[in-house]
Amino acid sequence: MEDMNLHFTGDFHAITSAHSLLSAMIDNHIYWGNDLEIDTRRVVWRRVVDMNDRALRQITASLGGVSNGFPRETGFDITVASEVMAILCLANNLKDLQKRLGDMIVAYRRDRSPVFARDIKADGAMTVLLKDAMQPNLVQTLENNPAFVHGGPFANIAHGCNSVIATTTALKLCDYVVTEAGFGADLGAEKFLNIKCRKAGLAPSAVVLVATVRAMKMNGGVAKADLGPENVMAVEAGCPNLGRHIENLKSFGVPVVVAINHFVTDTEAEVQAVKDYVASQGSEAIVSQHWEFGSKGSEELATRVAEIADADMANFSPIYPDEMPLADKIQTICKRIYRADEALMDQKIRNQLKEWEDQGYGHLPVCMAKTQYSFSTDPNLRGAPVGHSVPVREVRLSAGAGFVVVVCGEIMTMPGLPRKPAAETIMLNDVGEIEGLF
Amino acid sequence: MSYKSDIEIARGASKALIQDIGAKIGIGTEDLLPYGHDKAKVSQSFINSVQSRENGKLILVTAINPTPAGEGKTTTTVGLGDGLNRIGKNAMVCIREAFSGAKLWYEGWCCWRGLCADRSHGRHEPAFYG
Repeated sequence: MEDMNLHFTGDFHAITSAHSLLSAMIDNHIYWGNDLEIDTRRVVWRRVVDMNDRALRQITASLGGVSNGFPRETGFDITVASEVMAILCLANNLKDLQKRLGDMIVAYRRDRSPVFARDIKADGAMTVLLKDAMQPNLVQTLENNPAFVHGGPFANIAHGCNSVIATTTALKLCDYVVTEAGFGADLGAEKFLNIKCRKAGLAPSAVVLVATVRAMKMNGGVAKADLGPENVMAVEAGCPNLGRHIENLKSFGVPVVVAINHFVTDTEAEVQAVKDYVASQGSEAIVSQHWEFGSKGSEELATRVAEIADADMANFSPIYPDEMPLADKIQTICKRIYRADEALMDQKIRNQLKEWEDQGYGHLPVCMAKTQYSFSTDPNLRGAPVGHSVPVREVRLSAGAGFVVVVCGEIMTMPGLPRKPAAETIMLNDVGEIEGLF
Repeated sequence: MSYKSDIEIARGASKALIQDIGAKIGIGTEDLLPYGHDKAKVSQSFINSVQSRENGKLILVTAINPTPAGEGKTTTTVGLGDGLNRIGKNAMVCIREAFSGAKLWYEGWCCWRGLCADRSHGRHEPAFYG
């Protein structure tokens, strides 16, 4: 267990190395004469490190005189925010990996034309560094069942799913493959279905939507400190959030089952309230007590999910076609998934999207970066809000990963440490065991 | 009632050799590249060799909007995988490195979350995996 918390099989280190190689090669290229005519003010490739270190968010590199190159502003992101991570998780094979790495835009020239990682000639060596990291990691669950644990891209500026290669390999080995997508269904499942499934040619047979009685209560306006006592009315008041996710998921043509992840504090009346609500939405909810009882507690859920998957009821399709203009893709997600009145995009953003379409990127899916806590852009607006609009602050092109990131809020790509980091209490005890991990 | 912490559960349970886990899904010893005794990478040549096979069924686990109360997506993903195996199905789970908090040996909290979680806010809920 400690291994997974710490170095695991070294995939993140490999990604950091590959990313850093490209960083170094860019500045080296500039140092040795800059044949590509990179505008040093427009190097978009930042550096990464796998540590929460806010001191590195914005730095000036190459200080110290002629032999250290040309000083320029840059900064660090955390490794999982690297486009290399997103690429590793979307590549179908090593050849595809190298192509995507080469497609990454690292800088622009004074005429605003892009400079690619391929132009820096970094793609081959990066692929070599990532060769082993591309292989899925096999581990086991507490009940000694197989699990692939592979890749971990950000769920905001990237798509937030485990690797395509792990999922596609698992599908060749097993009759049923259970996977997940980061954050709530409005972000995670939307990206899984519109980005990962589209790119990897996957089609889910069933979707399990996890809800808890406690989260329903919070959506119904109860504060975390007051979650203890039974409150059926609050559960009922919070259910429309669940209902909207059910409806959204069904619009992709996939059958939906709600799993009520059971807490030992849930009361029967509260659980029944969720079940009744879900039934009124034309779906079914099944209580799963896997936390307390392991697989014995999830048997009923497993049986039903297998039945649904076997019935081949799914008729999956992404909710927008490749050929739809980028701005319309953004509108489609904002209206159909977030139920906003509209996405607000100023002229600068519309021009940028148009420019990318002219450069041949119009077919890409869009990757929404917005708060995970609400259908709206206000993290405090729980439940199922209507009448909101979604302001788009910025758009970024991840040309190698193959999506356009649509930033609709504060996006942190280099977290900081809290006032009291857990690291303060992590140590080796006298018998050499790690203490302080939990 | 008291419940064990994740790390207590993980340290206390019996682990199988990764070769035995691989055998369950038809990956031979020669195609497992072990990292220690309980985890392994799957060789590229094995992956290439299974490409012509039929696909199994894909099941996505997702959740409502996250709240501080927690929903348990990864826990449910792993629980469902174990449940499918329990009823005799040939099933496995695919999850992310880093953000998981599952009931796996390699329980979640990746490097930076494990090291950086804010202890001033206490650990995760006693009745919940995260």
